[in-house]
Amino acid sequence: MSEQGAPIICIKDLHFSREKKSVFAGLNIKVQQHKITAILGPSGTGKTTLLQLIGRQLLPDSGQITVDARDIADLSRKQLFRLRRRMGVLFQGGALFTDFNVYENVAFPLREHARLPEDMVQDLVLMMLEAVGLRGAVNLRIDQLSGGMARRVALARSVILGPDIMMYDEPFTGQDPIARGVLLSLIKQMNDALNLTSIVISHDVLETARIADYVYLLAEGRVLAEGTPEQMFNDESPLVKQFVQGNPDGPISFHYPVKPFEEALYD
Amino acid sequence: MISAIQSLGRMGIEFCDHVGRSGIFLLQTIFRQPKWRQAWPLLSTQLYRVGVLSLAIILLSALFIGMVVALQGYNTLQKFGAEQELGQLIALSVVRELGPVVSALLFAGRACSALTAEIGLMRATEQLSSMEMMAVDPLWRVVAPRLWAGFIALPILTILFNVTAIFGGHLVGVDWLGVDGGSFWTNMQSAVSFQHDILNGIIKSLVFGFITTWIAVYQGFYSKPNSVGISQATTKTVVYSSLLVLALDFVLTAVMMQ
Amino acid sequence: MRSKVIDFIVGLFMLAGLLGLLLLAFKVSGLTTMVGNGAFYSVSAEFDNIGDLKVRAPVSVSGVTVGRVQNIVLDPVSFRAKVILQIKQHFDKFPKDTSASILTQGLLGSNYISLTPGFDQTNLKSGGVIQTTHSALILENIIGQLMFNLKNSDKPTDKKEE
Repeated sequence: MSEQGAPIICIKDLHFSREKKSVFAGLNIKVQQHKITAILGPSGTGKTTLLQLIGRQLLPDSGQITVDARDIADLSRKQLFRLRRRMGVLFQGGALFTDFNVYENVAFPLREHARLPEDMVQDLVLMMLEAVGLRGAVNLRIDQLSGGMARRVALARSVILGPDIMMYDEPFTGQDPIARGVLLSLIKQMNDALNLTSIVISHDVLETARIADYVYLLAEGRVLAEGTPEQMFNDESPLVKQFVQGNPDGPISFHYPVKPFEEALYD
Repeated sequence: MISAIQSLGRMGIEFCDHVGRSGIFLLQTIFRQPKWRQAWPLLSTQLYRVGVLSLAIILLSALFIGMVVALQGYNTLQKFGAEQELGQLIALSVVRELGPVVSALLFAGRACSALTAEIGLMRATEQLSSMEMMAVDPLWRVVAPRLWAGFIALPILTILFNVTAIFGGHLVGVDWLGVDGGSFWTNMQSAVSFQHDILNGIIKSLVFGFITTWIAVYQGFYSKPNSVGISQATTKTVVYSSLLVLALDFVLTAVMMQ
Repeated sequence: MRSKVIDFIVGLFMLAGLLGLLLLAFKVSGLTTMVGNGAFYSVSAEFDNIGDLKVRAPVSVSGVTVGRVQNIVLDPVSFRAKVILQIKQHFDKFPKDTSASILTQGLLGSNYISLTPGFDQTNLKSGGVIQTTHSALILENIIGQLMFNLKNSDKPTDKKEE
């Protein structure tokens, strides 16, 4: 395995396009082991696509993604299988299975991948739910959960097999400040307690900066700026400033590309 | 003019695309290694949803169809003094055509649309993606049980349709219209051949079950992950399944009549 | 617990299907009469014209069904229709000179074979041949004969006038 301080995930010069639109044009990202790496950027820059590329649900047009110095495009089905077991993903909204209840959802990875006696499964499930504060909700149906609760259950489900790498897809979107705070502290705690490497994809600059060790800012399919949170806040370039301060207009323009209004009026 | 030909050509290519993709999809789903202990509960749940829950509509329709055929048949046969042939009229129409085709159409409308909507929703809420990321193959866990359930359920539903429709016909013909019960059954038995009529009808229902369920799960799996996408996929399932059932019925009947 | 209930119901469903299939086989298509070839023996008979006779048409004696037509082939030597009859083993005492006729069920019905027993001491065995046969009545032949007879009955008056 890689030593402390070496990047566990390396994305080199990634190019990817979907339906003739270029999503990534030369992306370079290094994710350090045991650290929380935040990937920020405006909506529509394909951040969820990045997760799918890392998990090899999609293949890049060109470029390389390596995990533990092994190119994931070269993996056989069995190796891919083992790689995915090392990764946990928290999808936007949780993506819990609607035909199971909370207990069944959290127990799902155990039942699929580990042959454990039923009482052990029960102990593990309850332990995970306790860690996310939802042990009391163990018998609820999925439609009975609020958005924040669903995400926490999904978090419990993602970590129950003890992954090395956790990826969070916009975990704070649409959450009230308290729920956001809960999730933030959970992500940090999980990362430290389970010795994980976490990748948080978000556009919530302030919240993410509180827990991130390193930040990447994406725009137009490549890395615009990178650094620790302090470096990002002190960065002088106009695009970074617009994003960090949340200005409605700047290098990313307010108007969708169109000819000026004065011209259109006189047509 | 040129652009019309162009778009026609493009549609043709897209159609081939779809057929090819769905073919690969089917092969990938069917030829997975099943873990038998796990596979049965999944299959059983789907058989319940797809088969048992369709029973109500299938049996009720069968009853009414059997009764109507008896009524209409009696009206016409009476003119030739051939009412005793009512039994074979009902049995042959039901077992050869009405049973397999109507069951398949009702199945496509009720069970297949539900399958597409369910899988489409799982696609839209990223449940299928998250399953993949948890190193569980959604083709095996979600799609295959539903596919096999459809293959098995429709023939059974067709058989039950046939029985109920003939029973309905008997109710109207013998109990109401006064056709002689004995000759109802005897004439039927001498006219209906197990090999040529009943078995062929079941073969038809096997083919129909295969086609309709395949279309249903394919449309659901590859639907666009939003509400418009799901509704489009569901509509396509019902329309394509129904049309294919009717077309294949013609082809199969022509082949079987040799 | 819930899955046990579902399993049970699905099991019932599949059993119902099987039961339905059996019902269809025996009640609707009369499969029992075809099952058990051991309980039948075959004899053959040649006809000039079988009319509308079909395979599986009944074979009866005095109106009681004793078997079915198994197969109809054209004898390549005599160019007559060779009909193979399948008779229930139960009725094994048909005299050798039994005759077979093709009759019609009712006025518009389908054709069937009626056997009229003869008086011989020895009985028909499996594979035997019925020698005396009466072909089906063909409507066109009857009409033609009728017209011929009518014409002939006019002739004596014509001769008288000459």
